[in-house]
Amino acid sequence: MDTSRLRKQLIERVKSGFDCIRPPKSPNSDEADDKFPILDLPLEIISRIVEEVDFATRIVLRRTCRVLSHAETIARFRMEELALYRTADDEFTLSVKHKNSENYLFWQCLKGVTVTKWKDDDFFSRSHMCKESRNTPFQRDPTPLGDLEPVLLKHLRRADIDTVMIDGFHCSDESMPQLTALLLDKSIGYLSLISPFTTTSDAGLYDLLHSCDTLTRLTLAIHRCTEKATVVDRNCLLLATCLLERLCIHARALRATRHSEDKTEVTDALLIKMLSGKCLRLQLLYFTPLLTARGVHAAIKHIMARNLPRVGFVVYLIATHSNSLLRLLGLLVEGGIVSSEDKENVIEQNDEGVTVYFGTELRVAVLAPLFEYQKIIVETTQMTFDPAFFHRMM
Amino acid sequence: FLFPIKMTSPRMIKLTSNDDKTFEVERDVIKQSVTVNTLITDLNMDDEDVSVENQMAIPLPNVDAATLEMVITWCKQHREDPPRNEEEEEKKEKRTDDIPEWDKTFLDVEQSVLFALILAANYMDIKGLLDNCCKTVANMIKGKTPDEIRKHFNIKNDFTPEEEEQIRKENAWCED
Repeated sequence: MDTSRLRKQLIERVKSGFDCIRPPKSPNSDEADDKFPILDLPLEIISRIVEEVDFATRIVLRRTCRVLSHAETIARFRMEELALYRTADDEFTLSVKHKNSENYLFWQCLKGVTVTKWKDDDFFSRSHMCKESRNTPFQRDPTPLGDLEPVLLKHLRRADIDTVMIDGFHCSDESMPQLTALLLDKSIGYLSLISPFTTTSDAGLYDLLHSCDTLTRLTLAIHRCTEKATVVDRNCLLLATCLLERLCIHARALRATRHSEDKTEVTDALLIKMLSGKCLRLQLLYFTPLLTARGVHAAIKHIMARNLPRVGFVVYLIATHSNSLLRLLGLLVEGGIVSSEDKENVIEQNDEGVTVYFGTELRVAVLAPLFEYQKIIVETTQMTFDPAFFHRMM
Repeated sequence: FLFPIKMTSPRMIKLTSNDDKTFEVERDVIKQSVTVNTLITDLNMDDEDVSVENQMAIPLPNVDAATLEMVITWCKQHREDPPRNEEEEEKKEKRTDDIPEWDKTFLDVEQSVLFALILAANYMDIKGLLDNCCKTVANMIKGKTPDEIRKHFNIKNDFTPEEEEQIRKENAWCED
């Protein structure tokens, strides 16, 4: 049987059916039609079309005309993540992840020269780079962006990036304004600065928060700082929680150096204020010496009272304090530490195994101790409606 | 015992194009348009026990009658399609060789008609139609040189020689 002939006939029949609703196609149908040129489509739709073509065609499109070049920039270079890992003062690795790809691409530069690039599945992984970056010893002298700047700028210029992660970043009074200038007008949603060393004052962070108005998430992990350095002061923390949706502050140095005069003291009262802004996920690491179990309990009740659809709150608490917290919450678990395999527990207050506060489900997870600290995670999520549950409650 | 079976006719929805032509379409068919579906839900039109004659028509000011007729035809053809899982779609590898045969034939039209369909699909938020239209245009672009693309879509080269040189330099990094 000649199936191709049958198929052709079928297509012809379908087409003749279509012709009653469609305008007939002209004989020169492969050529452009002046009535509605492609460039009259909105740019977002043109870039949506460009997203469908392969890499080689995209390069060709860049050379076709300004509109298609612009659309191609939006489509191809909309990267999900751009990260820089410093592995020595003049050496770093840049990784880029495209939004339509599962793979990370890496460029390793030594002294500003790109020596190699690879995919994460055939050489080092991203987690390996993070680890290496954090273990690299740094000199005490400030080393601002330096060689990083032209490379970072080059990639920022051609990209519409959601996330920027700089691992091994030296926060200093020189580097922070440089970074702010680089990120300005770049629509960055998430900025992560993993910094093994800092000599910065808050001015840089204030400037960053005020200048990058698209920023919704910030991670600032300070591993070491000089004794005089003020990493994040009280007002800066409050500003961050008012402007951002997610804030993660990790300041191990503050615990290690025990700055009694440091402005970064997060007290019970400050915690409540931090949980009253726009921030829906607050993560405080190693800020806890001044937090008490009563303060964390009050913070949890405050979160509940705000009745927000989703709130996350993570804090490290000294082990003895966490026992008090669990008692305050009425959670009867042996030793106050949840030891189940998934290391989390739902507070049980009724037969259904859920606690209902203001139409939300409260989950409190107490993770295994890390040194003398325990990690307290509080989450509230929208409760699923269960008619049977309400029937029994009546 | 035999009970009389009440035959219910499918619920119909009226749509009006920007050139004032009204179309009656089955509710089940037009549910593929997120825009129309949201309007129907928000206006509680599903709950109203109103005959189609007395029903308010949903105006579609951005779509002309000829395009709307094509959109309805496409929706009728795809009424049995399983609902799209956007998360899954995002994870899928991008490809343009998976346009169904019926759609390939249906979308084999003048460029202006195809672009009008793209605008309508975008406005009415019909993801499947928009995807297949964009893939059809992408297939027209693939494998062509810049000159061929300009000729095919009647595009003028508006780059200066300096800009062309700059683009060539910028692209050098990925052409190794």
